[in-house]
Amino acid sequence: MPANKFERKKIYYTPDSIYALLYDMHDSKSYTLCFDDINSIKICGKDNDDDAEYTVIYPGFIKNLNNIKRNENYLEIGSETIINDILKKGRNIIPRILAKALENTGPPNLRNILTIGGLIFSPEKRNKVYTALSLLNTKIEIRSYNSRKWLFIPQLFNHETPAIKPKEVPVKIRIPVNNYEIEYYKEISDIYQKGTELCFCGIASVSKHSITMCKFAAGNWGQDILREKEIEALLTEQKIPFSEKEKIRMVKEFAELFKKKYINFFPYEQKILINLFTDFIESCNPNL
Amino acid sequence: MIIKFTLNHKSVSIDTDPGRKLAEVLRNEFNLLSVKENCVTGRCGACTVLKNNLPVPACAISMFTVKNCVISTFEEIAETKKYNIMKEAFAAAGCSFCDFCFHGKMLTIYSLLDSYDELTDPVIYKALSGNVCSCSDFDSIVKGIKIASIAIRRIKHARK
Repeated sequence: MPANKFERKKIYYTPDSIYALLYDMHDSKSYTLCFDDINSIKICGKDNDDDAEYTVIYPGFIKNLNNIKRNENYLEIGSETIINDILKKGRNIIPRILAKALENTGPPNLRNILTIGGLIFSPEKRNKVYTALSLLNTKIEIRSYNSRKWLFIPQLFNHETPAIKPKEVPVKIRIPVNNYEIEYYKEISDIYQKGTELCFCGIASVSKHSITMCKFAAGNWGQDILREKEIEALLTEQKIPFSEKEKIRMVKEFAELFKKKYINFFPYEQKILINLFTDFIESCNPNL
Repeated sequence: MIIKFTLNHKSVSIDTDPGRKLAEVLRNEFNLLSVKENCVTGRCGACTVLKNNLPVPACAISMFTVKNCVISTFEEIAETKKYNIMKEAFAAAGCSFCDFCFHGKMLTIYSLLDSYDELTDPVIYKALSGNVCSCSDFDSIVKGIKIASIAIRRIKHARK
């Protein structure tokens, strides 16, 4: 008789090196990868009910996954780095929108447990951090026993393929170091209705009173990340401050495009997002 | 699975299910009753312990992540001089806590006094946002923490 899922013997692996981790994963048929203690357990591979044993792998003790490095071009954060460590050690290094997204992930006690890898791969927590990272051209290194690849963050979750394939593990994230003149982060959450939590991130570079680069993204409860490149293109090369006419035109175009494309958003969310977009445009004005 | 860790300055090992939560083990196996289980999601702060000198919710931590770590509970800090200073400071500020949140808040404040030299109101508010209890008003807690930090700083300067 097949063993009951809840009666099966669990085997816990806490590898000390990355090679031991990759070997453990390669060796196990199905396993749970624990990024941290809360909500970020990812089941990989096919869970075979006939198996009497079930493997849990926790890579938190690997030193290489617990560090922050910086050079001229980019900032590298290990996937098992604790959120409060990132906020403390990288206080002056990490982009402001990422810092705000990380600060808003929970109370400080919880942030001493949560890891960046856990936040990216946990569907409930992904919302804020994932939205911020997707704007910052962040790459993530994913390793398996015999391969290594770099992916851009938006490539991770495209609804068709799973985020991590069996036997793969995220090792580090790499954030390019750039100075953005405008960094905008706003979060609106309703504690009574889970589906209405929203965050809006925007970055822009300005030179000689015109916007040279502009990006924005909005996320709701980890399911959809809104990125509207047509509107971003409209905003770039624009002279600032925006005239009232320009502002109204851009908000109108955004609202029309948004209502056409994103039916999944609730009407309440649609209204809020349009307001946030208007606020973002206004924050681009140098006078404010 | 045998898990070794340091608990209140003592090296201990326990043969237990690695999936068990730390709060449950501390209460039931080590009889440390200052660790209270309430929300079991790590949001209320009643079960706060120090893991490697950082305040963490014990109800959310699995035993296999505690391997070789240093765990301190209220029973450890209650014997320190710093705690006595904190106690006097809160009495001076007219602040009293209920029995349920007291140990968790004390541990959070203890680590807060360790980590920061200048304690501003927003820093204190942020640090205590993980300890949810409305038994005492925040203004008197902030006042007590500030008195305690000044007293601790004075002692440090006197030693120098």
